[in-house]
Amino acid sequence: MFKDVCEEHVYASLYERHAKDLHDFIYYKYGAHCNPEDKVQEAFIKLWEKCGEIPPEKAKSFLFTVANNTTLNELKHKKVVLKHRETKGSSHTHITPEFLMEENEYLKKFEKALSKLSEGQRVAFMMNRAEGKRHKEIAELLNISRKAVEKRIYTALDKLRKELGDI
Amino acid sequence: MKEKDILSKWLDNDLNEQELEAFKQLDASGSLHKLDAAAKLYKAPNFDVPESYARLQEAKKAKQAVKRFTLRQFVASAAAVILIAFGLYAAFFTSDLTMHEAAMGHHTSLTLPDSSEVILNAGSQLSFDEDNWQNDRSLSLEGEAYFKVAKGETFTVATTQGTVAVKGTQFNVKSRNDYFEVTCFEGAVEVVYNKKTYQLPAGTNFRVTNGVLSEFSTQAGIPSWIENKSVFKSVPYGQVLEELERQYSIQFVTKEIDKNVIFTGSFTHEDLETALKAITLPLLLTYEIDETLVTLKK
Repeated sequence: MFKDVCEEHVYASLYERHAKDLHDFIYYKYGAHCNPEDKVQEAFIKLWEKCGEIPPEKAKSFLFTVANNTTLNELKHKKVVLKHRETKGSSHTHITPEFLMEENEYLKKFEKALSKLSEGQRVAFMMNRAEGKRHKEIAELLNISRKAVEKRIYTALDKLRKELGDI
Repeated sequence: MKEKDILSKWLDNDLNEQELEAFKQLDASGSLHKLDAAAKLYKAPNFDVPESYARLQEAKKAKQAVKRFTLRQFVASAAAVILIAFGLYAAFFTSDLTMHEAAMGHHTSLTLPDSSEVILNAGSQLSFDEDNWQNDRSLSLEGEAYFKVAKGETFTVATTQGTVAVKGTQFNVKSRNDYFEVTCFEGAVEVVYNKKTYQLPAGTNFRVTNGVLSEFSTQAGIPSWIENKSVFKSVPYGQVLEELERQYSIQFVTKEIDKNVIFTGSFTHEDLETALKAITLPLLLTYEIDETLVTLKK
């Protein structure tokens, strides 16, 4: 008998493998206000309900499609603004107020530039820079070619540098 | 190594130490490094896989609608399906009965296997053995029905109160609580009540009310309810109220109303207010309608 998503261990391993990527994908694409965690849950519950119909190798694209669609149904293209995390660590303890000001300015600009990227560019760029994923991995995740991923990342980098006054 | 290659390797997180040095020189101003650091500050919040999986299991439990189909369960369900199929076969194709029903407020018409016509009045049931019709030409009736028997055909209608045997005729049978009435419109019928046999020629109305037998003659060609009207001739008032409840799918609330008063009159099936006026005015009663509840008062 073929491996079945209805079997608990198959299902659990699918969760292990895809849940975090799915979460990050929704987060970078649509931002925190759409509750990426809930979208992950919803997608996996749908997968469970249809476990008899979906072979394990199709599960990933099913999950991404479902999570993407449920999110889209919810948002009507609000502008995506990602919030930076609290900066912490010793490097920030002895910083002059000027530097802090400058850094805040920089982050503000970065935030704005990030929100101006297309969804696809932002997902690819952040998966790459923030999550440290290789281009090949991102290509598999998004079901697009490696070339397409690289193009998105380069374009994103270019746009960001321009916005930040680097070039 | 070319600048572009180093940049692309850096972007693919694929620099070795030597190349990293080259990259640092390339990025002398540190602007790429700074941008990269900023990007890392915008990393998605931590996603705790085991913790969220536990939550998912809870959510799954809440959604009990899920079916699991393992091989064993598949066999079990297949067996169940076969059993049900046999059950249905037994129910419909062997000795069991076909049932027809007219809901409250509705009439239903049907044709018997011998092409006789039957119209069921509101709140009535008729059952018979469709496949064994040749051997067992009997119908069982709860409520009221009008029969228009095909020429030369015979059958019997059994009710809890009496049995009616027919031959090529048109007749109406009404069997309600403490009320049994057979009206013959054409041909002749034979009524068996309390082990006694009564012959009913056309234009006769045979009635048993609370155990009391009576016979009337009637001029009508078909029962009035077929024409959406209920006609009563010397009938206890309680029976009239029950009939109105069936025709309009309502409930009467009656206090201090004598249901044994004998009533002669009629009501329409087409308008509740008109019907209520028709049955309350002669007895000097008033009514109040509250959705499906109708209260009668003196």
